Amino acid sequence: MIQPDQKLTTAERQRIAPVPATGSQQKSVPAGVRTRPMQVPGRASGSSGPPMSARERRFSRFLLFLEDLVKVPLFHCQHCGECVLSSTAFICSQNCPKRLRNGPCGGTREDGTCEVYPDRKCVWYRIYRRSRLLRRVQFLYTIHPMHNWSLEGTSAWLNVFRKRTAGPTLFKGNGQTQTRSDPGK
Amino acid sequence: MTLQEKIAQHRFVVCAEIAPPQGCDGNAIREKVKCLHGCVDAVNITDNQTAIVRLSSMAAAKIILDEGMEPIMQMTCRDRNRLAIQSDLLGAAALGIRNLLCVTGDHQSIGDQPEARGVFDLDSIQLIAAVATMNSGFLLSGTELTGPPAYFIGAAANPCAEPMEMRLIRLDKKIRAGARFIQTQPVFDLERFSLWLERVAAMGLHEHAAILPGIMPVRSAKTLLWMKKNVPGMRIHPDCIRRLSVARNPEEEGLRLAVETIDALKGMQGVRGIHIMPARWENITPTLVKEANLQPAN
Repeated sequence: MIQPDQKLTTAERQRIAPVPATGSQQKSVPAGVRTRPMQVPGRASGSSGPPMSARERRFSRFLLFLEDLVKVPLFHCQHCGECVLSSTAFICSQNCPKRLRNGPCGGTREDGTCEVYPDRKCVWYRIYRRSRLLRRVQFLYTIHPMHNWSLEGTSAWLNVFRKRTAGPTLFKGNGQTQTRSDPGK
Repeated sequence: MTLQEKIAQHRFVVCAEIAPPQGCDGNAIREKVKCLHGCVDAVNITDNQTAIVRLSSMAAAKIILDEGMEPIMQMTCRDRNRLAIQSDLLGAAALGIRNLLCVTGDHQSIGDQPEARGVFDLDSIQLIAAVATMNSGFLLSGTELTGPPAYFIGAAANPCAEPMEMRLIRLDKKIRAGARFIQTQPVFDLERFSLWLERVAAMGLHEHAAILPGIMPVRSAKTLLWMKKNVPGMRIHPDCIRRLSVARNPEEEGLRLAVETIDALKGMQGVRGIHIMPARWENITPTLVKEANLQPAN
């Protein structure tokens, strides 16, 4: 723990409490623009989230322990902190060697095996097969935003609760799903 | 006239791919491009393809631009995080590069330095969305750009890989994210490709992006067999291999095969151009363009 009276360098102080963007930078950005790219598909909502407080981090670790009891044996959870299981037919897409969140790369072999591990089925091949089985193909149309890597190793449940990430899309009626019937660009 | 304008006017465009050298000799690129003058509309420059280090695609694109040709710079997500991608995109736009092909990139384990760390901060769809955001005048942080780029965004598609519906979903996502031209992997199975194209047309995707199928002229049946075995996601019709293996002059037969494929593709609804990707046979491109009557309309 850092004592309050301890002398800190500027870098250390910034690490503890990030300084908000300087005035000159904020002036050039019109009000409301900072949120604009977040509405673009591919952009994480609230990805500029603040680092957790020490207390929240402890709570996150505790929740992660509970989450692991379920997610590791069932889904080989990779602790990305931004869970997309509900739209990938409950197969963790982060087991892909490229950690793709939006679908398979071009390297799936004819028998559906991975280009990196020829003895393993492509994760996205399995996701597609199970989506067909569970009639959840429409969820595959969702464009997942860029991963917020600062959430790596944190509890996805807590992140949803704190609105750092979008919640799971369990049923059709959820507005998170973009299907082909939506007016595409 | 730029590639974007030609595609907007529904002209049949021809792109050719060249690989930058494994060395810093810029003249090697100039020589490769010299024979493409007046026979293709744009030149694709690969970005460390198959995860093997080559001259940077941005530098090669600049050289090609100086030679008076239009480059299509490829950008992979394997080697850069989002900060480097945005900074490279700004730099490339400042150099005058207008066309960008966004791909995820081959995994580093299939290259010659498998111990490297792969980045894959973004995937190709997120990269397309990032470029579209920059085109609209903002960085991903929300900072407004002074002088935004105006990239013509392309994406790759693999019509032959399994499962086809998943491929179409991914293509749909790429087009929704902002891709306006699609270059496919080489077509060696016309039946499969036309099936794929039918499904693309049924989804209405060909109206939003120009589909440019890939053509790879091959020298021998051995190359085809090697590709079938070693290039993941490649589907080769057995007839192609049989034709090349019985031919007395395999090079001539390979050229004829490519010409016949182009002729068949030209007649298909939704095909707006051709993307020639000659692997280690780059001097064949002018002959192929001439044989297939693909002289670009300038």
